[in-house]
Amino acid sequence: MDELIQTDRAVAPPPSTAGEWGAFERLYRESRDDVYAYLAYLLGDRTLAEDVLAQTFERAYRKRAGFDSRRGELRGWIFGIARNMALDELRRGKRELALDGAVLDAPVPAPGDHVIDRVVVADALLTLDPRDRELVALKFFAGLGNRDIARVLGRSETNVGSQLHRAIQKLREVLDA
Amino acid sequence: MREQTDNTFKRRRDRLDDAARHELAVIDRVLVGNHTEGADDAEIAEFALRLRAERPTIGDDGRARLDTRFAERISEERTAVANPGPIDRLRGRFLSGVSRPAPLAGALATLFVVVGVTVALSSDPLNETVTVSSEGRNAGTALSGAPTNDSADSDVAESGRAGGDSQGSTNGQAMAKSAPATTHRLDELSSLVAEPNRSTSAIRRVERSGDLTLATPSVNVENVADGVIATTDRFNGFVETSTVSGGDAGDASANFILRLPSDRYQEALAALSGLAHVRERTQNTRDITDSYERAADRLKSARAESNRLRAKLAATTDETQAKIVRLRLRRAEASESARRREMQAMRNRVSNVTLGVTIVADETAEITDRGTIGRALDKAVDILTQIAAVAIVSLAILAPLALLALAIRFGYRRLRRSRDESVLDSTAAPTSAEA
Repeated sequence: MDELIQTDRAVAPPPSTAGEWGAFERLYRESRDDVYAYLAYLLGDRTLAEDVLAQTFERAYRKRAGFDSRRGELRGWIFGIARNMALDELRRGKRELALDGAVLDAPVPAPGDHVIDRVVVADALLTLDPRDRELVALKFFAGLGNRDIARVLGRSETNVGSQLHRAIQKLREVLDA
Repeated sequence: MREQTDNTFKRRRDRLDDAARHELAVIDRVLVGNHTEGADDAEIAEFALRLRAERPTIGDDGRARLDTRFAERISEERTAVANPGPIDRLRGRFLSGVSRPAPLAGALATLFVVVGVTVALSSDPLNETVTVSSEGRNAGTALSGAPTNDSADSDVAESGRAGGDSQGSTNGQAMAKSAPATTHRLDELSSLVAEPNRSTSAIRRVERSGDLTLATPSVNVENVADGVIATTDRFNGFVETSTVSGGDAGDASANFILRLPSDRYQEALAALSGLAHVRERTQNTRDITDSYERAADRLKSARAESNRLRAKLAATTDETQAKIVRLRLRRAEASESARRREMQAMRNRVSNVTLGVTIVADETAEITDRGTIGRALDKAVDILTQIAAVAIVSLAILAPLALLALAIRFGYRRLRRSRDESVLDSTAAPTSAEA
């Protein structure tokens, strides 16, 4: 991945050598779980999330020449593609359940305090506005920095920071209540 | 006003205080696995970890499925890259390295506009009146500078007038129909001028004449007059008539009728125009193709007649008959000679331009002939003025286009964002019961 990120040029090099192919594969392996977490939460469907994830990396590979390192990191660019594809899926109406269904689809662990806590947190998340929930997903599930979130959502970094802070405040209030 | 208030309010809302900034920083540290210090930070860290625990995770089976799909799809892509289609090959050949086509397209559009403006400005007719006429319409003015002392020329003029009314399918008819006096650009004009070496009947024969009025202070009239003569010599022309009257009391003036070679006429005109302030400049052109061709036909007939009589004379054995033929041959040769002069006069009308130059005293006019450095400075100012004009006109075209493009881009982004957000908003409403 470093080879792709550290290019001086704005364009990722065409992976014509074995090393560059390896770099793209490393990017996939390092981002896969985070992108999946975001997509699964956004789409509320694990199978669909897998489909979109595979398509995301396929498209990223095809469009690699369009990556501009001045506008953010490669991870943020990948998430941007993933988001667009997920929204297309939602727009097409392939799945009606979204955002609020992901946690319900998760494998059910053994009963206990931990499970109760997860249900409480999930309940608190559902009190948020869908846009704020997406912000929280990008921050806490995908692990993106504010700059990359701003790029993915097409907003300013300051706006993302303040919006995120408000969402966090609201969540804490709900969880503390 | 309302919008401005909203924007101000939004900016104020977006402003993060130090405490908020600190909390977000703590969350960032916790999410990358770093430890925190202090009770407040611990609370934030715990909150972050609780949320993180909600993260949908992929099982080993799912991960294996994804890896397989990734390997398959990327393998297909690699194959496609290794064996590109014709369109991909073309794209790779011409657009390799072009990551963002929009700036490239913008730069090309700018270049296109600048070149277009430059060409448009450089081909402006310079406030010059150019009159194009065909034979038989305004012959009086168009012929004023043409030599008429040749006896054959009167015949030519006569036949030209007749020909002008009967130019059935030639271009001359179109010109005559357009208007007796039609303003054209100099570029179009130059294409009308006959090239002396070409002899096909499709060539238009154009006679040109012009008038130039220069204004300069009285004390400078003689200098400008000298400049006119020197310039005429320089361009291999000659002064047909000249009248120069001196005087410092504002009545100084000069008049010239110049004959200049057609192929250097524009150059000479530009040089003459640089001698003083140009008050007026007019150019007249007249299509004399019919007259020219008739003169050529008459010369051809006269030559044929002479040759026929020479042959007849050579074949005649009878002395009386030979005397008669010789007499007829002398008349035919005289006629041929006249037709040759007529033809030469026609050629002169085409290959030379008659230019009337008038120098008038004008105390308010600047003395433009200021030496080499002065002319160079004038030239530099002219060039800079042209560049500024191109820049201003280009800017006038490009600025609204750029604003429009920005507005479209802004609108498109707003629309897209609003569409994306509406998709999110339209998702199923969360209920605690479901959770």
